[in-house]
Amino acid sequence: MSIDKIQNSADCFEREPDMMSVRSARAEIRALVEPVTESVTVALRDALGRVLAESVRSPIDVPTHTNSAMDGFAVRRADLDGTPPPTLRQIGAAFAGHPYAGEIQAGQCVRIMTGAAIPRGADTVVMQEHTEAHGDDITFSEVPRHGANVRPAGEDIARGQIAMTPGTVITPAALGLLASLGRSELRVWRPLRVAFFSTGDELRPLGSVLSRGQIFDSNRYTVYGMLKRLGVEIFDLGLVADEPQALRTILRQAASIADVIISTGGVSVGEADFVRSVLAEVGRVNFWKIAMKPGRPLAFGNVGDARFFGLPGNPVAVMVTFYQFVQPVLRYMRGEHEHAPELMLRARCLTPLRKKTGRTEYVRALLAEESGDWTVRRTGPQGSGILNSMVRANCFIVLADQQGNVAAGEWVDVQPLAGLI
Amino acid sequence: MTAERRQGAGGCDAQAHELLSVAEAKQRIMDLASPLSGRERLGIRAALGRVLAEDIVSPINVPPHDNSAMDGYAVMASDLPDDGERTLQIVGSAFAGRPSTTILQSGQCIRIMTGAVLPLNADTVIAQELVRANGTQIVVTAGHRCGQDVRRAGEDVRADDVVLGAGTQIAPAELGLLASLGVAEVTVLRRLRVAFFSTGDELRGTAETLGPGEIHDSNRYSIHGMLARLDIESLDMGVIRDRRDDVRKAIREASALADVVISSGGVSVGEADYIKETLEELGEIQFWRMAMKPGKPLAVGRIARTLFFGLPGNPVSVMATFYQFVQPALRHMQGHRHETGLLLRVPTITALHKEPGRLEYQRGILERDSDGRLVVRTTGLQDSHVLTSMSRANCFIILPAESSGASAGEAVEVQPFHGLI
Repeated sequence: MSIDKIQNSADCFEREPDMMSVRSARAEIRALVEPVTESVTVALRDALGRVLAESVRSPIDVPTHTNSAMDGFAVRRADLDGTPPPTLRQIGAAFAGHPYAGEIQAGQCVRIMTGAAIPRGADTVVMQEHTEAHGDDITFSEVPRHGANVRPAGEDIARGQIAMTPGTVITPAALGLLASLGRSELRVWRPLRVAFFSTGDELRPLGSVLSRGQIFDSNRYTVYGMLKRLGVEIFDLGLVADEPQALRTILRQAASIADVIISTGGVSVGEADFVRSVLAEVGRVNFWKIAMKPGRPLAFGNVGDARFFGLPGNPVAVMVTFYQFVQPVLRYMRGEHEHAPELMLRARCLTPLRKKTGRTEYVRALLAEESGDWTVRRTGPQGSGILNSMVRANCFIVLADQQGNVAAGEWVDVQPLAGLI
Repeated sequence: MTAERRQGAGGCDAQAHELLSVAEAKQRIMDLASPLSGRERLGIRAALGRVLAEDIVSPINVPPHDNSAMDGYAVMASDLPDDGERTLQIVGSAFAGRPSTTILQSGQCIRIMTGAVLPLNADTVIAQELVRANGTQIVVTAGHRCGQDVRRAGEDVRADDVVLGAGTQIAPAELGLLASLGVAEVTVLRRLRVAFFSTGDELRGTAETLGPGEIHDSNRYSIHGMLARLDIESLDMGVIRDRRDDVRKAIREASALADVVISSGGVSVGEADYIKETLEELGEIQFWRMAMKPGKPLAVGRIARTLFFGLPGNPVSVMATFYQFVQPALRHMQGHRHETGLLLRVPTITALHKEPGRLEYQRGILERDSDGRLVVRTTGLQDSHVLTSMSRANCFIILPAESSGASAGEAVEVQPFHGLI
């Protein structure tokens, strides 16, 4: 971004007191959305990435049987109290899946593998490394405490206990845990349905020949990519002509199939924008000027029963507003009851940054670790049309409203994209 | 970690020098894995998440023409007053996609919208907030600069520039960039094929009733989940019984079908194993004992040209060894550049128990405390069969081999799952 641009923008913020902060826009949006309420049953594997809609109670103890935590020998601990080194007679072996059927009597022990059920009579496992075998006579060089290396049944999850609650995202670990409880099917919230389209007379679909003033429509591709990662059902409604009837039709269609509608372009203050009047006709939509950069204009509201997000038209502004406003809402609406905390790091900024107070700026940047410290530098020109700034970035530098210019070497807040995306 | 485990592990220190360090194991594995050579041509949306196998050269300038960065007025810099004010006649308007055909003369301006092509002779844009307009003319004050608020043709990308190099992963921003260039198809590395199976006579399916000593197989579900996240074509070979012929057949089939074979179970020191014997016979496999916890045993090598990983049988060990060793190797084979992932240092709010000797990946919950600081706490029980430790976690707490645990308040190294998973 050029310096003159920053100065201009700063001036216009001073002239526009009706600017809304990022925080209050988020709060207003959050107050108007609700999670989906219908659930569906799916096969366990198909639940990966979905959101659990039921409380999962364990039908079994996990582990099922009291078992060995080590490869070694199952013993009666009291038998090891004699004159050192104690020696016991091995009477059999227990493997995972092949338990020892008999009962251990005084003076006896059983060879046992990790995971094998503890034979009746035994109460302690001595690890293999602390034993020596002479035929069937096993000598113990170390004597552990009573109960050592024994995992009690139900130690992890007791039968009847709630192992997972609604709102849990089914990760690979959750999949494994549910399988270990013997679940073949799960109730998950139905997928959230998201429709999107782009507006703008200058936009042409891929494959067309551009004439003067036209550009390819890239926003439907970034939006698609960002949605794809969220596990929502996607409806691409294409490119809509800058014309009231076309917009009216597409909005009604979108509202009939989707929970959330996302449009790009057509929400900034301009003469070519009939968008407001059409939206006022088919829904209730607020047009905000957010104190942020990139991505000042944002529209949010209802169209029919669907929630509507009107994002700016600039490619970078689309991505920034999507990540900051749309993504958290979609995750909430798809039923996630919590997610990992937003990762915000402090890093030393190696490039000086011009910044006027009164708005939040999301600077595309590269985060790196240099001799134990996090450092960050911006990725070249920051114009909101410059997708390359996003392509090269692995993080946003987040400069809060009250933050002014940043000198090289100053510490800044950084939001890694790896966590966000 | 429980007291008896600590006691047991203490006795192992004498053997610690025989254990392979995590860093050394990672290096040896990366030396074995090489990127795929197969490639395919895909539509850009289908290529999301894949790695480019070609350099992408831009066929056009982006933006294609000088255009306006603001809603405002296009002017000639020579008309800008050095002091005082200047009045300019509005002689037309330019919208994005509908350029003005008027050639600007001195004393004139053109109303221009964001993204609209700059009219001929215009070189500067003045934002609408910065002028007084009365419908037919505007009054411009001093202080503007030549070229302000103009996005130059080729400012983002120049024609014939390599915009994305071979080896770049296609994330949402890359998708948008490709679309903005009009690139509809790209050549990417083909998908990696990974076959996996579990071994263990104690394993039963999720829908089966458990007999004594039996457990439901969870590893194939967590492995399925971890592979699915990596966009890998996975082949589930099921549970293989520990019988010589079954094992041989499974390993042969899997290695013929896939680029990589992953087994879980059957690689630790035990007696009931045909796995080891068969692997030694069919391939060149090394059996390692690693200085890490969970997940001491790991088998790595080749069966003909197929890479083989023999993971431990415990569910948590499977996941920890997968994320630390297998995932980086798979990503390398998929053509991704090596990334260490985000490592943070944050204070732990619970004491972490550990004996020196092995590097530990403890499972933790990263969260914000009441002051908004990132802190981590343990998920509780850390034994390697306790899958809840993994499903409740959102990070690994990495405690180096020499560490003897951490007390509450101490800073520890944390690897967040988002980003990793």
